[in-house]
Amino acid sequence: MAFKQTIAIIGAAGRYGAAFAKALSTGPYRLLLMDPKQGALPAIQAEISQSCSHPDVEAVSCCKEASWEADIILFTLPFSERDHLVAKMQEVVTRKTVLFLLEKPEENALAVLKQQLPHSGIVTVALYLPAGTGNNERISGNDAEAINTARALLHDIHFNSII
Amino acid sequence: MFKLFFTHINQKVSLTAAEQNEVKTYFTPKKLRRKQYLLQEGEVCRYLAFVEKGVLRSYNVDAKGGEHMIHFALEGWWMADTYSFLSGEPSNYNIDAIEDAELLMITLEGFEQMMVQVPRMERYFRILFQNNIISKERRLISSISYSAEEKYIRLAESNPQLMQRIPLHLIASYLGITPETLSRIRKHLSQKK
Repeated sequence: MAFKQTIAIIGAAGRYGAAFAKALSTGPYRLLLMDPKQGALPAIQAEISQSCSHPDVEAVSCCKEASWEADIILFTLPFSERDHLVAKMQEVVTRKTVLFLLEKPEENALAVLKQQLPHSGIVTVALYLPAGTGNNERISGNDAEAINTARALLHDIHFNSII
Repeated sequence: MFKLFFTHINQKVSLTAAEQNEVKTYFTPKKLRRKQYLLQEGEVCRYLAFVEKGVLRSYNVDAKGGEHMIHFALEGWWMADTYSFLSGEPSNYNIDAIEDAELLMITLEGFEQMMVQVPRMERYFRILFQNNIISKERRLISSISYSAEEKYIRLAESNPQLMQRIPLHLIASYLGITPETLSRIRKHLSQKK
């Protein structure tokens, strides 16, 4: 029996957060859904319950609590909501893989996040790529194991079909 | 989060504030709910875990589905399948939480790096592993030499907190006796008082 990894989705009520939650709910994962708009989460949980026979999904009100319990953190909130939530989770994500979804590749995002979370495996995943950009530039990271984890996860959920 | 952890370590070796900050960077904080697994049989034990809060157990399961307790870990104790952790071989054990738990976990890679960066931690773990060998020797002697009642008395005297936190059927399994035998022993001892 395989170990069930726990994934915290921060921003699970957003368009992409919800899409990732639904895609991941069919895999061998336990999901913790967190969003500043907590009221929207029951509807997403209900939708997952309808489409998945044995979902292991729970709504969590606190970003730190969700990240503490998780093995992998998927951060889908926009830039404006990033800093204060990242500061809250900083203490509990040491040596964990933290994926940040970005609208498009951001030049300094990785360096800034590395400063904020110096002991985590950070991976940025660009949702949209400028014309002429290769798919390899979609994922950037500071840690080879974290990048491999992110690649495997995105492959599992058919990332291209989500975006 | 690291309060009990450093209290425990500083009882054996004295770390400076800088060393403590360095050590923190190797440990992953993790919450585990009751009945959630840290390790399942057949997997490699990737982490050595320090229990900040809660209770863990390690056990194996026989062909008939019977569980046999190997170890318990309360607050301030360490838990892993050390053989699997150090050798990279798949484990024969399961580790799960008896109570909701807060853990600080380190991988073998992090463990090795930490020993180089903070040599006092190497001394700490040397003392820890020495004590672990002594404890295993005592358990072996206990299991081959003592009666069921003697085994129970010795465990209750050496680890009274286990008796308060661990369900009796798990204690019975740890001692290698049936729950009914344990119940009879406890009744007998209470009548002697």
